[in-house]
Amino acid sequence: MPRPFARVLAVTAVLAIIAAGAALWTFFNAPSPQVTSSGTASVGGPFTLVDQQGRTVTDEAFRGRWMLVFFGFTHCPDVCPTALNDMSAVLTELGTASDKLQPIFITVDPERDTVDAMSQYVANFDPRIVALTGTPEQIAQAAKAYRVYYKKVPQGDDYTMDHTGILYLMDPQGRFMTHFTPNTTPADMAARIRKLLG
Amino acid sequence: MNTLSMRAAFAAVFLALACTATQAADANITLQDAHAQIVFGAKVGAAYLRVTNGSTEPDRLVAVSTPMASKAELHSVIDDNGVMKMRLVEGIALKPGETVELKPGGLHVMLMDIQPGLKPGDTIPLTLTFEKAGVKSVSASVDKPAHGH
Ligand SMILES: [Cu+2]
Repeated sequence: MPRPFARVLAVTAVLAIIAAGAALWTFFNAPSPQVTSSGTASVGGPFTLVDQQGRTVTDEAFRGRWMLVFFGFTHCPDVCPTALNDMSAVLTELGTASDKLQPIFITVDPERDTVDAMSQYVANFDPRIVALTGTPEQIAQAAKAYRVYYKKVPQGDDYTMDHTGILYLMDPQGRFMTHFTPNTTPADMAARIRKLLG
Repeated sequence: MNTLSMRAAFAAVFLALACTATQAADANITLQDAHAQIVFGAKVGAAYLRVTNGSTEPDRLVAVSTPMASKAELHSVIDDNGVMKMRLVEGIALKPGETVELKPGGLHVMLMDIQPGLKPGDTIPLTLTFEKAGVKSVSASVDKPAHGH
């Protein structure tokens, strides 16, 4: 075999191995759309929604304060009222530090959760909670930004919603800081938030 | 004692034992800490409680009803990698001596079309049907929200 040819072959082989390695690396590190529980830097982003007073608000309105964001729906018997009770308890637990925190509840069921429905519902929790609804497109956009999954599921002659039950903590610049699972106690949540608020 | 009366005596003893067994199973179901999470004005809510099977036989909670809601069903919440999914369950098995807790984020009695106007502190009667122990009743108090106002 002539030497230059052997060299080309060797170089090709090395390049092929590198390419295969890179392909594998990309494959295993590609963000999976199913992963909703792990916090990544890309959680969060712009949204335009309507609050419980019927005013249009964007994410920009909350700059300068920390946001505690939860997606749910009012026809939810268990997970959502529990999360909203927990949010209320976190605010109480934080005391004066709670001024730096804006709790936000965003519906994943815009069909039933009108401004009126949201306003009536959140009146049962801490009045500092902002409740946001919108058009199905606006909700889809907000959920996409937060990597929140939601899906209508038939239940008898009605329906319920499967949805991500995570609470997201965003910093005053709107960047993702951490998340809490639904079984985090309000005391734990408050302690972790207090540390981050500084 | 002739054969007939012998048979009658056996039957009587057998019946007595059978009755005792049924009564024991019945007496051994304990229902504790029944409460309900009903957001004022909401059509759906959930009731929770602890159910203990104190008997030596397995049992099964098969149905729940209340006059305060048009429908009550046994549900569980499944945490599927952060996605919360609520699904109907076909009864809850209770091993001898076992306590099963229905609690927020897990098993619950889903209440649908709740009678409007229920406030924190109100009580709602629940009727639970067990495969062996039969029908048991308990009253659940409506929880106060974390931030009462
Ligand atoms: Cu349910």
